[in-house]
Amino acid sequence: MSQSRVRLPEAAGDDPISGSALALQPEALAAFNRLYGTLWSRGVLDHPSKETARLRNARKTNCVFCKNVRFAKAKEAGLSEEQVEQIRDDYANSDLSPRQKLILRYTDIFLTDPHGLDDSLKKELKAEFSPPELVELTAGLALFMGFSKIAVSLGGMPESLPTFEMPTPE
Amino acid sequence: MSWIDNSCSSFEEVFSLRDNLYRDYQSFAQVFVSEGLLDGRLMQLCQQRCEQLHRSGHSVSGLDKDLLEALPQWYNSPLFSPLEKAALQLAECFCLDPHSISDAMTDAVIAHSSDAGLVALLEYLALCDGFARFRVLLVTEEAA
Repeated sequence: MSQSRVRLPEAAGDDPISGSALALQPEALAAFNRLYGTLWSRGVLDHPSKETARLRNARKTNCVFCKNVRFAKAKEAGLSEEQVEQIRDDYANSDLSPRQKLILRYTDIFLTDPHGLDDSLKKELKAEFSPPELVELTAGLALFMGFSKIAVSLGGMPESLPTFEMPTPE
Repeated sequence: MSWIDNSCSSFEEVFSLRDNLYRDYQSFAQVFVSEGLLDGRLMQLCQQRCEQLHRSGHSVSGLDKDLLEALPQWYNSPLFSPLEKAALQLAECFCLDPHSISDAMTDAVIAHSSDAGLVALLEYLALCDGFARFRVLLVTEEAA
């Protein structure tokens, strides 16, 4: 395990997010939790689509914690561990659906080269998703990436973790 | 106008297509100001540097022309305080590759603020980095 770059607060909560160093800023953590809950549970885009994007980010950003979390509602809605296993660099050749592959292509553009979004991909995205769904997916990517990067930046994560399920943020 | 909806052109108009999400985003962003978690000028500098790195074309309001011009070479400029320089170094690594952030970089921020100050800065950088990318992808009128 790498050394944490900050001391953990004594009054931190017992779930993995509120028990982290984020609890050093309780007002910001509360506001983030509201935002994250709205993204996941008061939105328009289905859970498996958001979870697919979240897990692709987790693997690309290489956040050990994010890679091993599974949100319950995505699993309940049909995102299987067999599908999750295929969210890897050669996903184009996987058995994932065209919709899932489209989400992964967009996620990779978001993470590596936002200026690389071309007209062809825009057309495919507009055919598959409504404008509110695209806003939600893109805002979700911003949050997934940002908070994965925070976890990486703060250190203190183990080299590996078992996969574990968490309640979907509400 | 945005490619996802011809009736939208600004960041606010595009994000408001998911209005409850936009409201909670605004509330989160506002916490850094209302709770005084970070210095106002430091926030402006970090956001502007993120926008520059992502070539979003967006200019943060309230920054002097001298500061804007010096920002890409902040490390050589006397216009920035030690905390601002430490934060800008962190901002660049955060945007480009968070695995390149070293103990010395985070220690430099903590030395001029606190552990809680580093957490607040990283949370703010997460917003700046993520939503600069959002702007590039969806708010085409502003993109450089």
